[in-house]
Amino acid sequence: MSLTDHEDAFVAELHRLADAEQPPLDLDPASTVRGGRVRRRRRTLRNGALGVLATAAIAVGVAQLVPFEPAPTEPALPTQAPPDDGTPVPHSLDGVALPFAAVSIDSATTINPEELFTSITELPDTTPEGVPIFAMAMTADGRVVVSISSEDNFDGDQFLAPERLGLWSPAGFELFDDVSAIPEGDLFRYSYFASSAGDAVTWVETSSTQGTGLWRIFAHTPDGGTSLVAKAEDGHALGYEFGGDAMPRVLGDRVVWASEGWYSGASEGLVLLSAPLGGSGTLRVESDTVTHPAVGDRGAFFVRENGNLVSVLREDGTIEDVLRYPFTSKPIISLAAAGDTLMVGVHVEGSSGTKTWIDVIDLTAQNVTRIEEANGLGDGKHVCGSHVAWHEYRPDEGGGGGYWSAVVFDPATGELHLFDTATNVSISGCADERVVWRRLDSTRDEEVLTEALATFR
Amino acid sequence: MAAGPASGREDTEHVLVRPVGEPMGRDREFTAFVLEHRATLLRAAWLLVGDAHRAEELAQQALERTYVAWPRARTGDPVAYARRVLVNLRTDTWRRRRREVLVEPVELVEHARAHHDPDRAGDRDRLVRALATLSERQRRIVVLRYLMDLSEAEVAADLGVSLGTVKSTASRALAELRAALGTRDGLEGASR
Repeated sequence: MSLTDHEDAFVAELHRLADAEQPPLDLDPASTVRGGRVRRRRRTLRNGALGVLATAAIAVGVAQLVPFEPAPTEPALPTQAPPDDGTPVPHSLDGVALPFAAVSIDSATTINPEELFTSITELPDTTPEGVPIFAMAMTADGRVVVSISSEDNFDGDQFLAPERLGLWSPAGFELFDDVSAIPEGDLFRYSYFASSAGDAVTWVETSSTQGTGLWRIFAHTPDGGTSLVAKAEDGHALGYEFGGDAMPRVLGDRVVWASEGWYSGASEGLVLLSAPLGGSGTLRVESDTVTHPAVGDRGAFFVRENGNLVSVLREDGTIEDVLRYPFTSKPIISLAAAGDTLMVGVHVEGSSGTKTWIDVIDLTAQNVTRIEEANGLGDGKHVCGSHVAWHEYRPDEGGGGGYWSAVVFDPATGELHLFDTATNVSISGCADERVVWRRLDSTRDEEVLTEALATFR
Repeated sequence: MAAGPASGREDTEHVLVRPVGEPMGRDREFTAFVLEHRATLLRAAWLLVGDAHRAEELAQQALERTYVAWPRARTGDPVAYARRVLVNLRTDTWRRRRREVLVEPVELVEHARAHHDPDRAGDRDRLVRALATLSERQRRIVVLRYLMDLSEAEVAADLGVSLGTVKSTASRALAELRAALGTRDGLEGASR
């Protein structure tokens, strides 16, 4: 495409502005050589050390349990009037506000993970062959979905080797089929999201490091096979170009996910897609959406109409509206679900300032519990059996910049707990009352310190 | 690189005592590369991050990684290689997504606000402020396509996206940038 005269003039003006505004910048070539040498040496040493450490790293430890205290007997939070601060309460479809209770994130009590879980099992750092593993999700029977790839897989430009997905349990590893050559012609990819339902696992891979690349969605099916569920280019037959992040979920015998979609180059936004779990089936555009889907007993929940309507895609492909949120400003929403619990993270900017919160909605009882001022942004939200879990930023009391901690809330009791770890904790997934988390370097230097599987009391 | 009689003999001696491309040859060649292209890479980094200190840090990291991969980078287009590393490091999205290395809350909020309030950092430079109103993807594509003067195909290759994505995103992003600069700041003559 050639630039028009108008565009030429505007781009020339951009160059002029850049020339005029660029500050003095300097970089010493010798320092880049020194830094490069250190990186090169570190890579060589690490490659050599991995094999030596493999045997020791596979050891699995079970944490000593602290005596269990009696179950809390406090009643659930009392119902109260909906707030009048511009943070809408979800309504039924006929316009009635759901019964509402609220608790402030500031009331969270700090607790050691050992006080919250009956058992904590550390995952090994590597496979028996010495390749690092990374927890991604959990199956219904408590096995951990892991990706397996070297830390040196990425050189800043591209991935240098394929990675594998599989399952870990204390009994060992079970690797899924190698899909690196599917589809043919792809560069090496990595996986950034996985989820599971029943015996099925689905995950997404991309070769893009930018979050803008073309996704490939795979599934490990209950019969033990592996399928390519869909690739972004499949949208061309439907007039779409797909890209961006995808976070697939199993919905019965299909997989459902959201993708950025450009229809005939005209519209932009997320669209909800589905395709058969076993692959080689038709990719279906289900709806427009503003969220990634979250699957519970009723189907795949998603939000549309600029955040005002919560709907559910059923296994049979029908869509049912569930709730309405009377927002006056367009919100940013993220979802999590399991059973008949729907977790809605909201971040909205309005005339009264920025508001952020999390709603935990019991769809059977038709009530909502709100955690006020909780982190409504991001997709790291989980419904784990009777609990919900997410991340909150905690300032470092020593002035070191702070860290992200895991928060666990029990809607039945109103108990709100914060992990007392003073490091970044990232929950990877859960199934029923089990949860798997990663504890990261508090400097956010991307080193995984531990990954652990635990079961709520 | 110019080489007189003395340096020619020195190179010959190096070949005799160490494999071609090992430290001395690599360092000399890489240093020459940095001297020639650092200004371009620093400018790209500054346009991407909007801050001089962070830009220097980003370019430093990108070049260190390029040094490690120099035997591969030098066989193709080493500038394109270093630029791709730089753009990748700018977001390092894959690490953040994969590890949920959670960014500072202010960064999340800034990202969410970017489209709504172009004046929120009123003391910044006009161009940086206007670029900050774009989404991450729009900003990368605008910087590479219009401010680094890469072709659409080169931008697509650098970012690992399709040509169609570059075309549609670039067009929309340029319109948004024009609106951010033109209507608020009166970019005389540029948009007429």
